[in-house]
Amino acid sequence: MSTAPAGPATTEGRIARLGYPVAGVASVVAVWALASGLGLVAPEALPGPLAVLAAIPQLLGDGEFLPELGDTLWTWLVSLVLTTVVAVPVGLAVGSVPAAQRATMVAVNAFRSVPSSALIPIGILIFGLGITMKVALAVYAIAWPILISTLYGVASTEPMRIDAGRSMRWPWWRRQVFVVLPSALPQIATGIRIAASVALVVVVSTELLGASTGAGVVLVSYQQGLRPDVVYAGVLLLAAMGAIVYALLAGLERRLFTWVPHV
Amino acid sequence: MNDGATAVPALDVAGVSKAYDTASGRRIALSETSVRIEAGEFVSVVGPSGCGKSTLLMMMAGLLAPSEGEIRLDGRPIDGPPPGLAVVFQDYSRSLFPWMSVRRNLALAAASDKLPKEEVARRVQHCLTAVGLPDAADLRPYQMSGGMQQRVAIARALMVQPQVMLMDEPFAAVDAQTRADLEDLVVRLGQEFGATIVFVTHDIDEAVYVADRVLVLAAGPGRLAADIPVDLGSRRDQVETKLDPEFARLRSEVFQLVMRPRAIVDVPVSASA
Repeated sequence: MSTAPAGPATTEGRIARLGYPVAGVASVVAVWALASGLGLVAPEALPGPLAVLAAIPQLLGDGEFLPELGDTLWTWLVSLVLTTVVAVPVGLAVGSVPAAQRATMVAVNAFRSVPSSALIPIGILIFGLGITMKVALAVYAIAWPILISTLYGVASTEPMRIDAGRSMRWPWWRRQVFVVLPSALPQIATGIRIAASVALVVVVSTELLGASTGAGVVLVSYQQGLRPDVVYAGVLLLAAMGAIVYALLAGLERRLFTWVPHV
Repeated sequence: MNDGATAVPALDVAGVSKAYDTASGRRIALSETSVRIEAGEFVSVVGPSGCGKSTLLMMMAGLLAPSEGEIRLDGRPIDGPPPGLAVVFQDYSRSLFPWMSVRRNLALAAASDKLPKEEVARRVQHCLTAVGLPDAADLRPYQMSGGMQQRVAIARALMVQPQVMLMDEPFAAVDAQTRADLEDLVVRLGQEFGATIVFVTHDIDEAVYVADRVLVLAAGPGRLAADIPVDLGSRRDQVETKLDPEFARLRSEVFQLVMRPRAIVDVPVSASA
């Protein structure tokens, strides 16, 4: 994190940037330790932080979890890339025609309101229990946020810049490539970053609720074996994966879109 | 139109009106305006807000179509952005492309002319030097001050070696010191490049200082109220020119034309200048 270009390099700045998040996480862990140590929650429901920490090496070494985690991450990556490759060009095309944009927004908002987890049973009926079903549901869940952020990105293009392109007698395609696309990219990237989090949630959900492969399947078997400590360890690892990818994408955005003022 | 003796004007605005349909009815931004601008002239356009001065400029640029009438560039009717014409927009921060270096911002301005690479590179350097930024090619616009960015915008306009340069309140967003420097820059560039310049501003001193001729527009509806020749010679100086009694007389004349409805009531003193 200390390599991040933004933020002052002073000790004070570093404390502010790292100190507060660390303090936040530490207080959550402290409350967790207190709750389980004082017996406020049953150990079957919530084992203490130390027990969960101790379960991590066990989970990683059981010979089953790691390959299944690989399956989950692969499914996640395929869904994200597939959706991006389709939804972004569609968004750019639709966004450049105002009438099409208005028509699309209504439909997109309707589709978006259907929670993808509610579609898992239907997904299983159509695609079975394999990776196709997992990818299909993840794609359904994230196509809309990526499409919407692309549409908003296109709509946010500064009209004066389009006029500048027109006055330089740029043809339509050149205005799209050199003005509209770069204007929309920061918002598209934000959409993809948010979609990445959503996709992980959906993929793991399908694994918990019936899919035949993936990290979620392993966690279900530990749950049935009455090992909540291992289940929590798995949840923690998956959360860490999500957080790392989110941070990497956010860092990439900061590097690529240097002209966008960051908060 | 021509009486035979004079050449075809660089810009010929012939009976141009512009009306918009709004929710509250039809609004006339500019009504029945005709004006001829000769090649090489530096013409400034002033007027109160709502007089249609920017609308007129955007129609000259071919970015906006007149509701009635016609604007001709070198005798050819304008029906879209024409070659040989460049625009400097009001707000550099919204008209330059921050995702590109200054070099690329300039190079792409000439993209429609399909020039050889070396010629583009030569022009980039030439135009940046002309605006006093010979070493700025590799910067990004947001790494520069406002005044420097507007210089880049002017350099970008010079890339197509325009016969006509249209400037829409180009210095409204910079501080007074920078503004004086930029005024001197455009006066010099107008003479060096021999371009016809139409310069929209809301600043009366600036309108008189830079131009050979001031067009005063009136509002409600926008129309041409006066066409005033500026006889201050080709050399302008921020101190000497502004001490010239002729400058004072002209700015006072323009001031009264622009402010007339209020000037009579509120500030009669200024009329005696």
